Amino acid sequence: MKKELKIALLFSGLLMTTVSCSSVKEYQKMALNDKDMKLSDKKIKVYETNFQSYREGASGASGGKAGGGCGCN
Amino acid sequence: MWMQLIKYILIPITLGLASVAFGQTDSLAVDTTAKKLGPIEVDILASYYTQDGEHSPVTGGRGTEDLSDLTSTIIINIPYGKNTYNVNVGSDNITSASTDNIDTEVSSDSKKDTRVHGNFGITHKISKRKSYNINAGFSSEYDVQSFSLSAGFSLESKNRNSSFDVNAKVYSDTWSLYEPYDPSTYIQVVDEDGEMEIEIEPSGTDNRTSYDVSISFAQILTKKLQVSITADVIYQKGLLSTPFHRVYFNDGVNTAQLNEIKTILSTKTRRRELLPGSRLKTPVAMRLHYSISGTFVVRSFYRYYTDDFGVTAHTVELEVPVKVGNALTFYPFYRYHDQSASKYFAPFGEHLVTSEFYTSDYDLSAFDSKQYGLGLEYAPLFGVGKKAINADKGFLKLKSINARLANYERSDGLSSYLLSFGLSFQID
Repeated sequence: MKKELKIALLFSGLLMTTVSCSSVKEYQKMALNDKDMKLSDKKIKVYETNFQSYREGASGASGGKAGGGCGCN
Repeated sequence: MWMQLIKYILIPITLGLASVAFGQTDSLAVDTTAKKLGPIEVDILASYYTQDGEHSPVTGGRGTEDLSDLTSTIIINIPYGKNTYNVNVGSDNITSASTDNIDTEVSSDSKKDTRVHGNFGITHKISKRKSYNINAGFSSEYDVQSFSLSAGFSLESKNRNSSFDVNAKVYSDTWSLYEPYDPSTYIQVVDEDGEMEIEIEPSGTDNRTSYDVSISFAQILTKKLQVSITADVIYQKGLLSTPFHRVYFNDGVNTAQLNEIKTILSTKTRRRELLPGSRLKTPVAMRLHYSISGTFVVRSFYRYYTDDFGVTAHTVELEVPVKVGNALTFYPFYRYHDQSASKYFAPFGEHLVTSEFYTSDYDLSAFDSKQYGLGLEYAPLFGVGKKAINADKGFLKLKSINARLANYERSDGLSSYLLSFGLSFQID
């Protein structure tokens, strides 16, 4: 478990350091401002996230609910 | 079916729209208020979910999981000065053959349940780069009443290339203890037609509290690439087992030829599901979004999950929005999930009677799942259509129409479909 977590963190760290992190000016953000580039799920996806959290043993860190209610049907 | 659709989807939609539209008209009548009021956004969402499988935990990990769920949700965002007010209300209307087997009465129709939920929040902008939010929510269904409170803080860097978010949420659930029918302790009552029926009443109540702290960091890497990393710590305590989930033990009694109801009536050793009184979940996730061109975007997601029930999971998602013309976008997507079993899980009839904790809920078993589907969004630059709602100014504009179809297949045989539909309005 710890090994896999380390790999995930190492991968993230490598990504952050290898990709140039130069400051992007506001006028250069045309592609980044596209609504599909938003770093969150679209609102319509909320139902998918909900049923996945009920039907799988894993939940959280995805913007969906991580507790509360039954969901036991 | 259609009457049900009208009742549960169209009525809340109409009421929601009417209240927002009239509220806006009143606000616009006062000039000073109109200056502070931003465009109101209203999202109306609905979905139909259906699943089937053969591992219901209500009948000990063996039996139908047939279920359907019709939902509707209204989300309203009202920007007013430095605040944005958010309202999210909705309902789930569930028909479940599985929970119908809590008792042995085979109903003409499967058991029905309605869940209503609401969330109310305020986001306050402290400055251009800082904001905080507070929210309160509730949900109510026949066996669980849940309340939640949350607060969060968001901070952007000076060059607006990175942001940091922290959120904390508490859920407090009260469960009515509907225990599974047992032939040795049942109560029979006379129903309205003078016939004997089994009475299932809750034996009391119990509580569950969930704490969720989430930290997220987002960074723009290039003009076309950005990433975010999110880590959650979720701690739950109290009643973590579901009161009406049965577990059958390895006692030598063979019920392989019996159906779910006859198994309940047999002498096979059974108990209510029992899980520890606390659970610690620690998921870590990363999103990486890349704009290939004006036509293609790649949205990727990976999550590593672990908890002290022994579940370890990896989840990967890939979605590639494809823009066709100025208004239409297709969203093909694929998701893969792989998890190990909880140390408390065993299939039907395999738990030892000496086990301290036990469940036959296949949501906690080892499996992999695949989900794929297609989304569609129609969003013309100036909206799909608009209608004046005020003589001076003020329009109700239909900004976009969304639809999404997903197929989900779990390696233990459970399969499901989800059809979602959404309309986005703007009032300004």
